[in-house]
Amino acid sequence: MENKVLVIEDMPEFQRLIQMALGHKYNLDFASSLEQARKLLNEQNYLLCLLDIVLPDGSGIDFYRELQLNDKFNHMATIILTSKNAVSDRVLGISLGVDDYIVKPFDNFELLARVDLRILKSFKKKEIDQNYKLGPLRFEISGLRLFIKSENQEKKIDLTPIEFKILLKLAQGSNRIFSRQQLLDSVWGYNVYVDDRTIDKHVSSIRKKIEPYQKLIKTVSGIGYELKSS
Amino acid sequence: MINILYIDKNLEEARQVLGQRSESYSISYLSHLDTIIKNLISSPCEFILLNHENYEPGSLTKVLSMLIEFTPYIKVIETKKFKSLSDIKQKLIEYNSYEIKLKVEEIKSRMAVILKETDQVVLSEIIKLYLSRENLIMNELPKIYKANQFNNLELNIHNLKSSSANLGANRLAEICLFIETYLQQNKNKRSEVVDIGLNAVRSEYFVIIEILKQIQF
Repeated sequence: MENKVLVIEDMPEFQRLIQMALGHKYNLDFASSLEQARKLLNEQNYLLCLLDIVLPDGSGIDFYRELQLNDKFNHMATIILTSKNAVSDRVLGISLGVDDYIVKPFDNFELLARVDLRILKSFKKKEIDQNYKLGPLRFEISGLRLFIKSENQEKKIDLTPIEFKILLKLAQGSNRIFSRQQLLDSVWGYNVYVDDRTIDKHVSSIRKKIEPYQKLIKTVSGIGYELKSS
Repeated sequence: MINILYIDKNLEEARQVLGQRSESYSISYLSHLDTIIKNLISSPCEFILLNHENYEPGSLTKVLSMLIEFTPYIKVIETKKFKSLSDIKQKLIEYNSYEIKLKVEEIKSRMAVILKETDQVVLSEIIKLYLSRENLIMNELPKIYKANQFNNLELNIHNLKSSSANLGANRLAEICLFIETYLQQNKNKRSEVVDIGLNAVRSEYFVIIEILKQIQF
């Protein structure tokens, strides 16, 4: 899926302009009809779809509604690229949840900037939704669940939400030393008063729960903790 | 060359001074207001010169309202704004030159942007693609409409709007937008509005392809 963008556009001159605007940075596939687009979407995974509204075999708006019903495209950003400039068309597109709405004729540099931005945002969203792995630890972030490798199997570890957040913070900054205060701010927020020794109690509890990997968490005397990646 | 419809109850003097055709303009004359639609369907028109003095106010209002609704892209100018018929003739020559210059500048300006963002090869390809639609625009669109293929007509008009705007042919894009909107709001309905619109599209497209062929890029 690396850098793949699907362009659903039936007019060759706009295909050419899009190729010039994005082709040096993204791997583009072109579909001149919705039928071709469906075929490509079944075969490939795309980071982003540039979608024209008026196409020979149907409406891009209806097609976008179709995409929304399929979980496979949850992480694919969609930008409408059309010469339909009426406020009612823009409002309809945006209210349906498209990521951006660009009117033709477009500026190539602006198109690239907007595509870059949407792809970056999609990556961030995906990152949040994804699992995070570090050595034997696997964090299922949305469910606040931790799994550790035990022989050839994964074992689910029951952590409290606070413990999960502390361990995830340490894991995402692996090999970096976090002070107790940094961990407190990160987990409880800035305006909450919690004794910094509270962290020690939680870390002690985490160590017991993640045995035999308790040594991954190092105490840094007088400062705080760090999590070694191996 | 601009196409004009001259409306006056007494056309004799105007015909003598302005004539039918020159290097700068082509004029159709009309005195009966009830034939205006027929005239607009048969002859392309970029603006209307109107001497309203000899018409009943009621009949004139009806015609003007109809023009606003049917052909908002056609300018209507009252003849009383000019000093004389000779003045009209002079202004028509100047106006033609100004209009052509404006269209050339709009197209050149857009081409410069495309050239800046792409290269000469891409620009040439885009112009070739635009010119390659000549048969579709000049001959096929009326057939598509005659065959009541409204969706096909809407798609082609929409595409012509996009490609014209892309090349800076703004008046043509504006006419196409009007027809496209009309077709969306009046599904599967034949109307003089579309007939006049398609006539305007052909006339304007012809002007644009002449400009494109002449421009050195």
